[in-house]
Amino acid sequence: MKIYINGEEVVCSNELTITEEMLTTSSTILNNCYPKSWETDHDYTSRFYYPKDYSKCLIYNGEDLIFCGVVKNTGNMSLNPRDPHYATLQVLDFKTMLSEGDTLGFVINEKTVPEAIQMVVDAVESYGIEVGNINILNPNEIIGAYSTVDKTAYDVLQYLAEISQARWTTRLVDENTIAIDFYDPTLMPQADDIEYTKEYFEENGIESIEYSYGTYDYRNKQVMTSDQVYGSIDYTETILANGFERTFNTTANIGVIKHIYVDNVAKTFGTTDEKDIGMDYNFYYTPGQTQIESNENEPIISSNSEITIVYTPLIKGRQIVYNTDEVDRVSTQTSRNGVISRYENRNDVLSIDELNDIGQTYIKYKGEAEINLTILTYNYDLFNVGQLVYFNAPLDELKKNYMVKQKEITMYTAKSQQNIFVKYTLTSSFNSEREVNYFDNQRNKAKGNISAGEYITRNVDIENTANIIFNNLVVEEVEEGNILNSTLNTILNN
Amino acid sequence: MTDEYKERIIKWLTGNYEEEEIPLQPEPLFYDFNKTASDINTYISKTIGFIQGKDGKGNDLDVGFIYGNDNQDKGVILVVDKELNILQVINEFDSGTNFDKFICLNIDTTNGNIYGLDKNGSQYRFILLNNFLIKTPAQENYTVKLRNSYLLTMSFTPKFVDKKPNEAFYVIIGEDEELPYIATYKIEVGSTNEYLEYHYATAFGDYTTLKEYNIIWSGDSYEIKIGCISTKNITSPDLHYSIYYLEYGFDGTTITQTKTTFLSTDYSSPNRIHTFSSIAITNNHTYVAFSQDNGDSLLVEILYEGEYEWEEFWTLEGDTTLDYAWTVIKIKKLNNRIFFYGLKNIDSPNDNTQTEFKLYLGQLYYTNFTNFIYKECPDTFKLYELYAYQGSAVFSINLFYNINLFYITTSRANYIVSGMQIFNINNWEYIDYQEINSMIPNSVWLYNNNKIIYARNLYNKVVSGNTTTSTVEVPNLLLNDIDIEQQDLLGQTNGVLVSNIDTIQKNIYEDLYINFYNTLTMQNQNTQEYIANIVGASRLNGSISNSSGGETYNDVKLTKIRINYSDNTSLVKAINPATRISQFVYQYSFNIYVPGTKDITNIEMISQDESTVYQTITGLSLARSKSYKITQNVEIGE
Repeated sequence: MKIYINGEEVVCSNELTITEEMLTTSSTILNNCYPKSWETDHDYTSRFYYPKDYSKCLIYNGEDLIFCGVVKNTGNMSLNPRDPHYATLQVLDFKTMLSEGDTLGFVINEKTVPEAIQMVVDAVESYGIEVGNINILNPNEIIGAYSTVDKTAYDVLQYLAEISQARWTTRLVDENTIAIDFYDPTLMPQADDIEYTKEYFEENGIESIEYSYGTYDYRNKQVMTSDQVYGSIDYTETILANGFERTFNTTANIGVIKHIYVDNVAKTFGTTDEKDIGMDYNFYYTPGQTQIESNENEPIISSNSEITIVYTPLIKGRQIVYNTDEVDRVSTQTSRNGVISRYENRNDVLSIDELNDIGQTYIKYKGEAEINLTILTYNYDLFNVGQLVYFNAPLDELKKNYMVKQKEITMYTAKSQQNIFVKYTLTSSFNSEREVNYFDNQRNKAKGNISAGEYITRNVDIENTANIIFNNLVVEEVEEGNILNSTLNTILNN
Repeated sequence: MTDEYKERIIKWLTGNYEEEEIPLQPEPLFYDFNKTASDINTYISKTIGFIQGKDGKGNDLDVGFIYGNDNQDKGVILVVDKELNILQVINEFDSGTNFDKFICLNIDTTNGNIYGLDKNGSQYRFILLNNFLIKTPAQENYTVKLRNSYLLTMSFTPKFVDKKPNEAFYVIIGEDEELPYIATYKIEVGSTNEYLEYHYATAFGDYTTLKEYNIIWSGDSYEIKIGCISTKNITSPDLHYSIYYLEYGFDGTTITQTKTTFLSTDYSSPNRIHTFSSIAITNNHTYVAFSQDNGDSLLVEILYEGEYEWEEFWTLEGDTTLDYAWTVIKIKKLNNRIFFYGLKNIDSPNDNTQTEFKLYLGQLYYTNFTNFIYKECPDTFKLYELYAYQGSAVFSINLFYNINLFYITTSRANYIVSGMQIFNINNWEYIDYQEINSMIPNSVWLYNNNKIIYARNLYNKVVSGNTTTSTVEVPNLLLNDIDIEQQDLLGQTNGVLVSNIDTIQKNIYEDLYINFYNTLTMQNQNTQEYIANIVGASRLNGSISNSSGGETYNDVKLTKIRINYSDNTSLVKAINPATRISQFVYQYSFNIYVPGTKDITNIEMISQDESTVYQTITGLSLARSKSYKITQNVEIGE
């Protein structure tokens, strides 16, 4: 293993661990780090080693570049004159630039998710970011307008992953580049199956496999509530105009208006957002409010005219979902009430049906134990973070797909022998979040975060420099006879 | 930065910057003349007008509409872009009812709603339409809705309609049997609408036509001017026809005749007055354009009513050997400014339809040089291309926000001619020349496909040390979903300071600010280790970006040295401006003498006003009582 910081080879303590995770920036700690050149004269006290923050760090395993990042924090340097003056360094991979680099400032409009990813990556490509594998469902769907103002590239990529139900991660390409990969969980690259055989373990350097079986968030009854959902019944209300007011109140919050009639004559209507951009209707309303207003450019509605409004109201929602088989199982085993209940309030749903569907999803994914596998290999790299792996396990409960969510590479040198252990953490519940947030994500995908009539301030900077250089100085002694020819005639002044 | 800009900077520093003489006839900024086929006349038999759209807040849109009537006398609306390309043809309201015959339409400047008059048989109707030039991204088509309508019983033929801002008060202007009429129409809330008519007591006179009007709204009061043209039969000294301008005023209750002016300038017989006269009335002046044949020459003239008398604004003199019959001039007002197009025949073959014309587009504007700025369209027209049996001309001018780019477009028969003028009313409106203010950032031009699509003065400029930040704004409604492939920053005399070719694309959700950061650095590279001079760079940058007169330049230029001696004394001397070695490299050359009693510690190259050091020459090993020649290059690079 060789480590370079700012092009200079350094050495550190014998043990080194690199942690890779789906959404977290990969990092490592270099303990007692100093330039290898110090080992020539073994003078560790008269010099100080403290590479500046954002120094570039490369770690090679043989000829393979296995880590590339920047020094982020430096510490643990002793200032005792008798102690060696080396430091402990925290090194983050270049994914950190997605969070720390320039914030974005444009609106993604009329784009698909892959096009949006490209826009984000284009904005940060100078940090060495490129688009990698984009393997998502429905890649040609246009997403709602989304403002990236003051958001980091990381935030926007995370948003794009959520609305496309995908997972994203970064991948080291070379010293100068990392790639952004997007995968739908069902389309993640599939690694070879894990076989439960002695030969397989030996061939793949597997030291150990352990599993944990957790019921931390288990439930067999799900209570779902929401402050506002669209009612299943449309309301019809009639209001008498008083001849001098332009606003009229409804009894419930308006979700969406179906019809408005004035004295049985149908009228046009739109939202106040549409009004702001100049769309012309007889009435306007703001969803979520109990009020409609007539067009101010039109004559006021005369006294005693009947305004009939048909609208879908917004009401409080509550749904309960049971897994009765599980309730019975727990009840039988405990000889007690078998209901294990969880309560969720979701204000991101619009209808009772959606509330019910989300409750079902909770029961589906949280109604069984979450299984985590931990695999340790020696001198053998088996998987990458984000891969799907099927475990052909000896127990039926464990036979399923798992996602590699974390990878920890530990290297240490003992007696000049380099040893590499890789610990993989795999999880079975990689799909639950996507399903539980399905409706919210789909709605965000369609709606975005900026409406018609709104706009952001986008800045594009064009930087130009002109450099004025004084150079090519020539000084020549002037012959005696030419003194008086001096343009400055300085001899006469001194 | 452009080479031209860098060259000017180095000249400025080295004392070689020279102001150029203003050209006697400078070239105006006209671009992209296009003659393209059009099928406007396929849809409209009689064009009434063109209106540029506005959004719900009154901001200009980059779409508009031409309206008129078809050969069945039914109304037609053509939604068009700024070059009059048809985007959509509309013949009916969203209810499915066909338009009636349009009489006149206008736009509410505060919200973009359209209002006007239509006619069914002999029945006039006041109509209020929606702002149909606005549509959401989800909407495929522009949709015209009839928001309200009121039947009017009118005693005259309406020609124009206007609206008081922010009130439901309308003015209708027209004529009947050569009497000028004005009607006011107030839409009331909770009571009957008020319709009132007024007319002048005496008829216009023979062959008189209402041509134009102007309204100044001021609080609750308003003032209307009506302009008419009369072609009269003059019998003395000889029988001929001549042209009069008649003007009427209306103060809200009474119409009075305010002016009758004989406009023809030549009485020789027979004067042929053509019927293509047009009028534009601004808040302060009246312009009348007409053509006449005085027997010896053809004159197409625009007269301008100054404070006391009519003055000739523009005369286009034709060739007397040709047939002038179709020569035409047309003027139009936009935002109180006057634009025009003129047609002049240049060939008169036996086959009349092959008669060839030149077309001119321009603007009437007093400058130091002329009273007009115009450009000749490179394409010529044949008579048959200009006139069709059906159809009539559209003359449109588009102005987007307060930007400097005007689209002047006219359709003639089956062709559209469009040209663009970049006109910067507060600054130099011609091509670049070198002046003391040439490097002060002033405006930005944006390009697509090598064509200017936007021109606007800066939103802001900040000079801070050695960096000047120049910002231009592109409102969210404009330039959406097209590639802005080139961005040019221009100085006050229209020289290009920066030309950037990174592609920018914006959308309707973005109010775009393009910031040009121009930074000057200054380095002493005589030594192995380069020494930056931020003070010198800042002084130079401040002077080129803010200079307002020759004195600043004279103070700033590097034309002196300060010799510092070992006894802490110094001597300041003038030196000659640097000589040019190449486009970006200049060379100073001067002699110095080292006294016998002290050494020279360094030599500072300083500004004329001795306040700024641009370069310090150090490390000199000079012997006492000797003279030396020193040459120092200064160059500008990236």
